Amino acid sequence: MYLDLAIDFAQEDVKGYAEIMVIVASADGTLVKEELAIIEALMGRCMMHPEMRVNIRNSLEKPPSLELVISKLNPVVLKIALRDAILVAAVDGEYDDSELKVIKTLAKAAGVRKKELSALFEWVKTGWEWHNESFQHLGLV
Amino acid sequence: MLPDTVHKLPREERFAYARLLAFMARVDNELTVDEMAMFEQRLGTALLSPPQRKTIRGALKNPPSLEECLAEMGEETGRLALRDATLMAAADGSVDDDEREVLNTIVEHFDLAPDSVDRLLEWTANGYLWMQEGYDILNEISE
Repeated sequence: MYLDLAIDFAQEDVKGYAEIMVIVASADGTLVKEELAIIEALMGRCMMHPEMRVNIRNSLEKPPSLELVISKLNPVVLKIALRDAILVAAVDGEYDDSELKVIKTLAKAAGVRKKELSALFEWVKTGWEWHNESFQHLGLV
Repeated sequence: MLPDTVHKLPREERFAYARLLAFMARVDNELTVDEMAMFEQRLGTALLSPPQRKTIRGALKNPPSLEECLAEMGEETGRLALRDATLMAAADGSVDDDEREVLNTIVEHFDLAPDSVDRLLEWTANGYLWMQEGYDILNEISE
């Protein structure tokens, strides 16, 4: 029930997917703890090998080129990476212009149109609201 | 994988939180891929160090007692652990009696509202629907 499509990615695709998350998180020049936490969570969700996670963490200081990573990924991986890149960009509370630029580049490479991209942004907003409800249920607000 | 506060908890409490999830993963004596993916996701969110994660993964083979886990958690950690234990219990599509009993024990330990588990299960179901909507959008793009 919980399984995400990312769990079926080939190892090389998982690497590229995680690199895209790193590129988005680093796009605005600052890395906040929330961004680190979501990248770790996404790497965990696709059950990435611990050694590969070390390489991804090391790339946070010097992320790879977006174009290079995109060129190695197939459209399915790109679409899932696009969806999760929006989550990563949203996690610090606002979309920075540099993050939006990465997202638009990804959308173009994945063949995602403006209307569909808007639907993904709306989906992230809905998820954010859903998640915040948990704090109300727990009496943590 | 949404904005959370688990990473802001004290280090020792994040460790206790993760031990409770390891306990939860083994309650019904089977560990599905769904549960494992959720477990690894939550370990990531908690920003545990790699050695701590290794220890926690070991706890999957030899789970601590529930009482031990609960004793090491403060109020906020306990509440977040209840929420994420609920997510884990539901990750394979159903919550069995043993899992439900553990969730109720957590509620009693932290003196939470009696309907907490029901509310969190409903919240969890809504979350899985939200995830499905994400897949639906991606599928529409593919068509």
